[in-house]
Amino acid sequence: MKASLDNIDTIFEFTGSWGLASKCGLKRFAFNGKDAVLVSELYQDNPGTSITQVTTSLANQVCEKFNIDPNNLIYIEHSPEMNSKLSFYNEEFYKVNFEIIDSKFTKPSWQMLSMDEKKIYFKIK
Amino acid sequence: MKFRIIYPKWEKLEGQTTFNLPPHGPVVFAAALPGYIDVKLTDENVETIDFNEEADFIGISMMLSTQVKRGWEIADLFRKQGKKVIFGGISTMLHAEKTMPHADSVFLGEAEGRMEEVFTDFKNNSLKKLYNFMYQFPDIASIGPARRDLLNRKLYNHKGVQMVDLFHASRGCKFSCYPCAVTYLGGRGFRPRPVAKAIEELEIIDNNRLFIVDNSLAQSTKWEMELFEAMIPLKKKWISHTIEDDPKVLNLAAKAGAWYVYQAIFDTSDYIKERIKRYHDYGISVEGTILLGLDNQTEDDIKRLIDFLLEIDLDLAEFTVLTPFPKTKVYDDLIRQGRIFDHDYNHYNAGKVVYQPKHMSPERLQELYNYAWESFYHDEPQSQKMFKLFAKVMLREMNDNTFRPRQRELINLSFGKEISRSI
Repeated sequence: MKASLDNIDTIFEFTGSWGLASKCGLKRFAFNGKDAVLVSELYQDNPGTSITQVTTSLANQVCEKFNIDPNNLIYIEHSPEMNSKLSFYNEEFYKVNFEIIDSKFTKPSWQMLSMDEKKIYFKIK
Repeated sequence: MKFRIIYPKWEKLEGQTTFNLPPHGPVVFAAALPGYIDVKLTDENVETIDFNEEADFIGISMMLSTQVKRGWEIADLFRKQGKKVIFGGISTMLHAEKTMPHADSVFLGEAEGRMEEVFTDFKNNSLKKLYNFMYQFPDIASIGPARRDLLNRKLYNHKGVQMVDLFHASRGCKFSCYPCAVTYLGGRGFRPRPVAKAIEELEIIDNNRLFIVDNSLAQSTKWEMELFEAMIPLKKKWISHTIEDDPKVLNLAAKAGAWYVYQAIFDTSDYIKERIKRYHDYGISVEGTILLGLDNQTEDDIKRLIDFLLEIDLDLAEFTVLTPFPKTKVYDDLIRQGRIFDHDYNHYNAGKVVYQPKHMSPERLQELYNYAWESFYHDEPQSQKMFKLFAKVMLREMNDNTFRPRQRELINLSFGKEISRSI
């Protein structure tokens, strides 16, 4: 079972829980004048922590790396298609909303994107 | 230096036959301690903790999520007395952040080769708050043998019958099963112990019956077959998780003493039916493990699955409800969807619904879980089915002259407690 690399432009190395070296897929794009990032879970190809377990820390690391203003970020978590017989590994997209305190993300809440919403963000089929 | 390892108690599942097996994590950990440590183990499931007993340093070993709250309570009591407490074990790794406030130190990772540093720091009064050895795996050949001499054997005995001993032949797992945290805990690579080392440890276990606790032995055919081949002369009888579905492997497993396996039953396919039959063809019994509440299961699916179990000649069945243990994909999915409503870890026993199922109410899933247990054991109670399995192993032992009769002096005791026997 291998994560599909569709929707991934580059591999981003980040620090996971307890300092674990971790990896995710990353796609950056502009959306309505904002910086948007699509962060993809890599499952077996991620040696460390899942993207969801360290959402706020990962969003902070992305902003730091690419010099993005946290107030100007649209952050989307992506579980890529795993081509598994099990529905738990179907492709899913979640927009993550945060509170921002002292320019750092906190208190994440996830909102699953419908097909229509996905089309708006990614102009996908 | 007196070091005391505490294994906290947990509440057993209601309505099920309770067996207290000797803990494995603490005795494997104890083998990694420096030689000068005077170590003692207290398993609170079978004995009472003496908080006044002399001890320099306390270690709390936690395997299950249902142990963590009790572990924290115990730590708080020892720390009030001024004693230093370190936490370790797989459940500590899953709940490390929340364990920190109750600990002087938290150890993450595998203990082999790391304890000299910890105890030197303790002696120098410079214990670190965190020892983080996650994914810095020790040489797999350096593991064991476990310190089973620390176990009070009489406490793991039911009416004169000794419980199985736990043993592990590998660490890590190459599979990433949806509800499982093992890849987080032990890494995504399979790390088999050298067969000679595993056999060396098996030879010194004073018990003919074992539970090989590896997540799955079916991860390297060559190693699995070498292990089974080498186990044949030991004449042990053992329980394990899945064995590879290959006639050559099953044949060797049977010769090596495979008694029964835990096999996941996830659908009602012919494949499952035939898989069970193939185990039976080699004289290996099967306890089906059935996970209820996955998002792809409707009420009808669950009922169909229960009916199916009654048709396929399972020797035993164990039902669990989906539980979102931290660091699993289940947890990630359910937290993102806002579906976890109960965060009390005492309820994370895989018998209580702590999340909103997709196709039914939590209450309905709880009812179906109870219905599954009742239906499967309706015609023949669990204790009777267990006795049949037990009779099978006794017969095999009698045939190869390894049978050990009951310990008569313990016949009126069950896990250290007196029982009244009806004659």
